[in-house]
Amino acid sequence: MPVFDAAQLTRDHRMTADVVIVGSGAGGAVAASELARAGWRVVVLEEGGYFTGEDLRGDVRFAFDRLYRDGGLTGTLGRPPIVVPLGRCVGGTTTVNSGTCYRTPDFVLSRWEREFGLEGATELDEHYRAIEHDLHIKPVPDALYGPANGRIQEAVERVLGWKGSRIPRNESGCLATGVCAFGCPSDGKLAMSVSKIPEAVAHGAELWVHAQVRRILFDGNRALGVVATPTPGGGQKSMVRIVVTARLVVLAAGALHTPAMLLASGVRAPWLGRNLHLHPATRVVAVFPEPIRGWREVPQAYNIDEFIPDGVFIQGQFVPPEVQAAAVPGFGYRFQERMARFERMASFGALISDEDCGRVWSLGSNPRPLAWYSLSRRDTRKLLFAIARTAQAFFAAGAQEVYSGINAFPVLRSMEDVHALERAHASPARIDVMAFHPMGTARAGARTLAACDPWGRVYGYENLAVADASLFPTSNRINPQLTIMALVRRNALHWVKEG
Amino acid sequence: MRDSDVQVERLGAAYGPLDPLLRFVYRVLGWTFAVVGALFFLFPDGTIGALNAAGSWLGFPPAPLTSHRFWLSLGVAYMAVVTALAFLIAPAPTERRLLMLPLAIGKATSSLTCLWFFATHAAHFIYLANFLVDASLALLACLTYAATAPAPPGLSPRSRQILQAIAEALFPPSGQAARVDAAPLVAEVEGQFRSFGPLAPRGFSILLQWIDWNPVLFHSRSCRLRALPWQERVTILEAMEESRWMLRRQPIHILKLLLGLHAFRREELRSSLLGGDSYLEQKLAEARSRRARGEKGPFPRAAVLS
Repeated sequence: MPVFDAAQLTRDHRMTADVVIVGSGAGGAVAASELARAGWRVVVLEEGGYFTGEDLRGDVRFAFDRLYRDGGLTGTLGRPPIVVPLGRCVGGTTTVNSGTCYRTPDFVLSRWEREFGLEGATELDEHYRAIEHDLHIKPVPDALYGPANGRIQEAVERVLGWKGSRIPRNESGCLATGVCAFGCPSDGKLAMSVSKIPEAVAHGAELWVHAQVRRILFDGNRALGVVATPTPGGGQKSMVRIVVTARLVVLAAGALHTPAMLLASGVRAPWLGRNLHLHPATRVVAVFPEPIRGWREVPQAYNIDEFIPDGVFIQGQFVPPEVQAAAVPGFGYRFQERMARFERMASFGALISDEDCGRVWSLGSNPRPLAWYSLSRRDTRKLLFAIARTAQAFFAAGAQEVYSGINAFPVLRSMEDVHALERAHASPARIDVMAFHPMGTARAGARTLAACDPWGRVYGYENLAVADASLFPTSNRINPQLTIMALVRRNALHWVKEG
Repeated sequence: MRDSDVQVERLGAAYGPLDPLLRFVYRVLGWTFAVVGALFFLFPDGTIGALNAAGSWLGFPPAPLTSHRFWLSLGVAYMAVVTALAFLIAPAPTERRLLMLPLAIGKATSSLTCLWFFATHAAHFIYLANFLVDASLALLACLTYAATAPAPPGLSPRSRQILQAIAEALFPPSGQAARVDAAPLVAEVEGQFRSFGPLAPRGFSILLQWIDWNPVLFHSRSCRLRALPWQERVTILEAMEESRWMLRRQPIHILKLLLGLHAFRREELRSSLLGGDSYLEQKLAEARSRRARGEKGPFPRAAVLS
């Protein structure tokens, strides 16, 4: 099988392909699979290693070291600084996410088409259906749905009268190991590493792991290919270069790294690096009077849908103690006492669709991104609303204490505390914010409004394309991976048609 | 040689991780010094006049113009030297880091003499402005000198002490967490930071020093965190965690994440938190037996070729 390890190279290596794809996540893998299936000679360069269930044991430290970029601490500067955990392995972030697969709401797709000139955005149905079929996307079945998520569902729907639903996931044979975000040990989650990448390889695509792309090569405004070196720390034998020349260069390195790579390589396109949306989020933790044992089920199984039109989505997010500890306030005996109640803890992520945005630069010719994102006042208000609704759902389900992630209100003990939190108008600097969905930094659409044309090709360059969430014109208001796959599938088929 | 080959060759040059940024910074500095030096030479009175105008707007008395040109020739010579230094550093900052020192010395001398004249001679804006600008440039040169130093293999003994003091404050000496021995925990966290790259231990040390100085800077304590009694350390770390200032709060969150990541991996601690539940182990066994039955895979990762 054509899978190679750049770390093992001892001398420079040159190759030629029809298309070179940088990154093997949701966008890169789908592009590779579709183009390889069409008979193109495809080379995929992935910066991380290749891990499947055989290598994974739900070990958080291993995951941060080997599956995540920067040990899980990739982040943006700004007020507040935001941690954006990203995958760096075959499958990209699909290997370390919870498998949540939502379609982007129709009103968002209509807006993309109408306001940003993203032709055909409202005609993604065929591509959604194809991906949903290939990845067995369906709502969490009864067998995998546990009492922890069920308890919150009961409170949300019966006590509060809000809308909610089980989350659709890409899985086949999921064992509910509870550690999706640290690499699925059962291969039940159909991450790209065990679905589209094997499919691409089976159709002749060549996959290189531990290959860190350093620069795109150009002749004028024509991309010639890319040059990569073995990823530092990947066990490389020597400093060699891998040069891939191709008639199409596709960047699928994610919304932080794709624009940085383009900028570092000298690409100048309007909107490139601008319009960074993140879906800022906070993990809200609740302590219940009796054991919850959230680790015994699919961690992200239930979504509170009630506030999606307002740009707020609240999703289950049960995590192991290693990760939960960071959200539990206190030091010394106070911390110990709180952590001892881990069995009784539930945690949900309160996420918002951000109205305002940040920006990505490259550090000179270094393709490492420098991202700036400050939470605006209106997005802060929205995040506070999301945190308050999550706390409300927890109290309705019988929680005794809620850890809000807001330093001025670290522990909430009743709905009065929740109302006080809402009234306080905390500044963004006082909220512990994380983000999981960077998007929008090389947006697709009409020439005056976007960096890429509606088919993902960078304006001003005939054979340079983008295939990841960078293409989204705005926040898509929900978890983006399914939309990335559908949009990239559509674009890849278009490239094939154009030859 | 083809254009693409030239672009590939450029990548081959050995450089430090910060070099792309520093190249840009020193190129900008070089051009700035060159332009400012030329302005001094061509319009000496105009330069002083412009600064006097800005100063009078802020309420400073104007500095007198001078007809002597002797000092001007020395000033222009100094600008020529710093311009040359910046342009010499720019192509290979890490390799030529020693040149940052004379640049820092020149800028620091210019800055401090102006401060001296401002304090003892006359409160002209031109002195104050030069003090501020050149002090910033001296600081920049010093910082880039430090940042391009060969990476230390790990944390200094002092940084390790600070980390250990924080770990001991997070996990109290008795009760469930007494099973966490701080010394190996410190070694594990340090090892993880080393794996992030050559600059990470340096950044981590700065973060630890900042935490160490917090009791002195914000809590009127006479000694640093690592020397405080356990209960006081806990109180101060909790205050930092709840601080409204991001710069005080965020480092604590990062450290808590890292310490928790390693401490709660320990089987005995983990097992007590999970109430002895072996759910994950059962599921892993189930996944293994399913693989053995050939129900999943094989995946191409099994065939990674050299």
